Amino acid sequence: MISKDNIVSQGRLVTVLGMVIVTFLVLMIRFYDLQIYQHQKFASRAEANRIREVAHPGPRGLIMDRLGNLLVDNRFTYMLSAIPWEVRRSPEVIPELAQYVDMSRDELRLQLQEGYRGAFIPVRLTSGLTFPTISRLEEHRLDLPGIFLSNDPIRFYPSEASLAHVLGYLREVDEREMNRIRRSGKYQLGDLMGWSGIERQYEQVLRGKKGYEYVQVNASGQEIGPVPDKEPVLPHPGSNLYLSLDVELQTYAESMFDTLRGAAVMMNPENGEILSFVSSPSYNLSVFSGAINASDWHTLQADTTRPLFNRGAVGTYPPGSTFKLVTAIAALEEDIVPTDWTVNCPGYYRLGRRVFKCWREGGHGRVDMYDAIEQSCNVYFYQLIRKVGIDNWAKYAGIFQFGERTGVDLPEESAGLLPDRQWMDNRYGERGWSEGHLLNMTVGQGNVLTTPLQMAKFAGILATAGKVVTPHIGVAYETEGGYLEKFEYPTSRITALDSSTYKTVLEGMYRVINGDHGTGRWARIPSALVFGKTGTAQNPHGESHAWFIGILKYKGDIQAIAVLIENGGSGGSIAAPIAGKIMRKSIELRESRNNTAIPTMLSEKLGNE
Amino acid sequence: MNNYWIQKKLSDLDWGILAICLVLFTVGLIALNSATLESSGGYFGNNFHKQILWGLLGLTGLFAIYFLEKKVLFEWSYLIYGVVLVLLVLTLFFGTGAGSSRWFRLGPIQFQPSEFMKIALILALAKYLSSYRLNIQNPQTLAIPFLLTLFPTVIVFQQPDLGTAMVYIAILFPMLFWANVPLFYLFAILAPFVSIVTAFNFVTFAIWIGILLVVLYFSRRPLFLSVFHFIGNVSLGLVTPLLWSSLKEYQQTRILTLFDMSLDPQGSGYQVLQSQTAIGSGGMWGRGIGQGTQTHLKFLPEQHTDFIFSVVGEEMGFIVVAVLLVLFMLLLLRITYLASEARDKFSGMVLMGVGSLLFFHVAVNIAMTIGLMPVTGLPLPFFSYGGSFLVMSFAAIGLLLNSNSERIE
Repeated sequence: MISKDNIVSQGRLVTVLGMVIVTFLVLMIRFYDLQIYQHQKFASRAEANRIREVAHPGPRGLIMDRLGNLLVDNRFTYMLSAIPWEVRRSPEVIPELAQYVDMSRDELRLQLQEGYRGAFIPVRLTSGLTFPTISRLEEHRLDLPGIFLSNDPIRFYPSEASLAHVLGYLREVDEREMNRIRRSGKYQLGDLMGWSGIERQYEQVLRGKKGYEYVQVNASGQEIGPVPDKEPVLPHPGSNLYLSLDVELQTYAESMFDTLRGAAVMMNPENGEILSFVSSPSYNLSVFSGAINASDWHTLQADTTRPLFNRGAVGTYPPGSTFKLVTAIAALEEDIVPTDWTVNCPGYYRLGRRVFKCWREGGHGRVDMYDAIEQSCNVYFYQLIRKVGIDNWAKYAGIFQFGERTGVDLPEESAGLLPDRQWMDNRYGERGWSEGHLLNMTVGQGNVLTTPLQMAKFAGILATAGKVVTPHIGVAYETEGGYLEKFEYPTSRITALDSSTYKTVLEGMYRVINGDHGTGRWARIPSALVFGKTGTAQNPHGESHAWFIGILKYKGDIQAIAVLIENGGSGGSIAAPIAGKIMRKSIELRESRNNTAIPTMLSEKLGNE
Repeated sequence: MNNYWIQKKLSDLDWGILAICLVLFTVGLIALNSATLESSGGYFGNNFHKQILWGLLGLTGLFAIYFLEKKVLFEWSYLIYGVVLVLLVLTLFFGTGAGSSRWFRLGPIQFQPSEFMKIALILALAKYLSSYRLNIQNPQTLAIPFLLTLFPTVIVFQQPDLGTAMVYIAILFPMLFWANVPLFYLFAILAPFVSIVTAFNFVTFAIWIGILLVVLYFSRRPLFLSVFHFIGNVSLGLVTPLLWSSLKEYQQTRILTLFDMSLDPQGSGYQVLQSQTAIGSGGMWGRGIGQGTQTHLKFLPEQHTDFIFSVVGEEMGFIVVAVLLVLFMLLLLRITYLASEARDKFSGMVLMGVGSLLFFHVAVNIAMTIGLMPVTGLPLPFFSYGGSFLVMSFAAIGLLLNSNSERIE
């Protein structure tokens, strides 16, 4: 029940009215004080003695590989910047400036337009100015209001490896990004921040703190000098970051690609550390190191070979015959056939009115499971998948986490696609798909899509008999006190599979490399134990994609590798040799480094904690 | 709902209040357009257009609430409070926003439950404080309104949103005052806050404890109660340093600038200095719309939200500022008058609640731009950019217009 009577004592009413009036009276008096009484003081402060806050970016942390080799360094460069509001007020500035720097009026205008983040936010025009240019600019400083020089740290890439897709580049914070991170309060429009790759992933570790200097500026935007009673704030560098990559191996792996398009990922399946990560074609990171030149950026974006596209973690491809291993595993685990179950391959398989071909026209003859893996016999797997069925197949593919992101520490990664019964029903309708689809899927065609990174992880799980790791590149960062803080990544173990299953599959993969008819003979290394599986994924848009996944066991080390060559043709003839060379290089490097298994620089540092 | 009822409703509408709000909103749009013109780069006027859309949505909300039967509002008060409180709790788990979790994302739009909590809290408090046979002289009756306020306050403090937490408290006390709660109780509830604030300095704390002793002595309350109060406040003052260290660094900084602005030349204090310069340079007639160099020079991310009034001060000058201040004052005086004349207690309480809400936002925000208050991040009603807040402001006006209309039967 509500009380109807609204009785407020006269005293309380007067108190409230009084408080309102007094408060607004105080505000009014204060505004009168500021705007009328002290107006002259503030007006002159505003007009003649504007304080310009000049920010100096703190150098970002350095990035090292696992041996301590410098991958990303900072270098100071003379940067030319403009304040749009002031440049707009004096139209003669641009033509004047074009006389002193190596840019035309149009280029300057374009750069001003593209880099515009706000009227009073400096736009970076160009970097790397030479001494003669600097002195000419200094000489004509008074004719160039709104134009200023600063000595800023920019990224510098001393290593031979390209690594563009892994390291990533920096860009200026734009309005959209600003809305996302506004409340963090750490960034302002125009600040550089990691925009892709490791630079973005570990932005919070790498970013330095800005320093400030206060400069008096007169009404026409010219600097008068420092503000006497305002102490500058010093910039503070970001933390150094250590990666799992081995730069020598990386450089070598990159050299394998030359004009080829594709990806190669090599990792340690025991802990998920990625030793090399190639995505080709790549681009030159130095293009992004300072003021991004608008036209360079457009060229890169328009390139039809898509050099900005990370084929290793984002690109998805049908896995081809490498996926036959999944069917084999499902059959073994569900006790559907024994390993000595055989199939006769005449070179084709007839299902209803459709004919499914084996890759070898003449056929493989009678093959058992080992032979079928070794020679990648399609007909064997066509018959096997009919017994296994889509549900078992999807279940085991799911256990190996296909169709899920690996969780790699890169800002962008694809999940790929693992179709199961429900997915097929949704896509084609419950009666709209047939066993024919399934036959395609067992040989890694049809709707299945995987990334090279997922395939390396898959090889790694087989190599370790069920250890599931999170592939990663960042290992540790250097804290304020100088000691290393390691990043933690989840690992787990597949318990659903029998150890004999792994043994059988590895035996098949051993024969792929070492058998007389093995499709992966080109990856053979006499001194080491190598396992593998090739794949040739047909592609309606052109030449097939070539796959190879492999495992290298050498003196107690295990490494897993996946190589994909877009439109490369057959896996055995192009992907396997490349994988073989990379594996050989890894052994060679180990030998040349006094036989140390995993390069030690990091473990030593970590040990000192 | 029939024709007669609608006509009755329309004739009850306090057009004066509505007109003042529309004038304020219009001036706010002009200032916002100017503030975002220079800073938004390629997205010219984007925020401006969005604000207009939010304004239209807010006005729709205003009329929707106005045409609700007051009985419905009264009966649903606790339910509304409960639902918004649940949403608020959920922000802790599912909220978005870098470094804080204030927003809820529903498809393309984001909203901030803590804004709507302001209205929900007013309704819930009003319902409780206007209930029949409530014995306001009994101190135990204060437990419920105190708890109703405490829950959302603790949650938004976690988000962390210090400003909004203060708004909830700023709603509670005037409403209790309006409900004729004995002054000593108000003093007793306020005392802990004073203890916390004064605990930072030994001298102020000592003075405060002195005042506390005097008041407790003259209040002639039972001895054990006085002793309990005294010990409670002293120990609160002693644990405050511990609470202090649990605050986020920027919150600490903001509170510190209350005492010494030069502590943080790069942050809040610097903003205030820049804001004062901007306002001062505006003079009698202002520098002209879009011509304010100071407001744009600050590079402040908040120039179109928290510091929008410095744009007004710089570009439109003292005359417009004075007119706006008078309009805000008239609005609040009118609300207070209506609250004393309301036809039932619930309406009176709602009017006082909405009045306190607006008063606190206006006074703190404007005082902040001229350096009379610390920077707390409280937006200015009808001026600051921000969807949830604008919609909430209009909804609050709808609520107060409603309270001033028909009588609950």
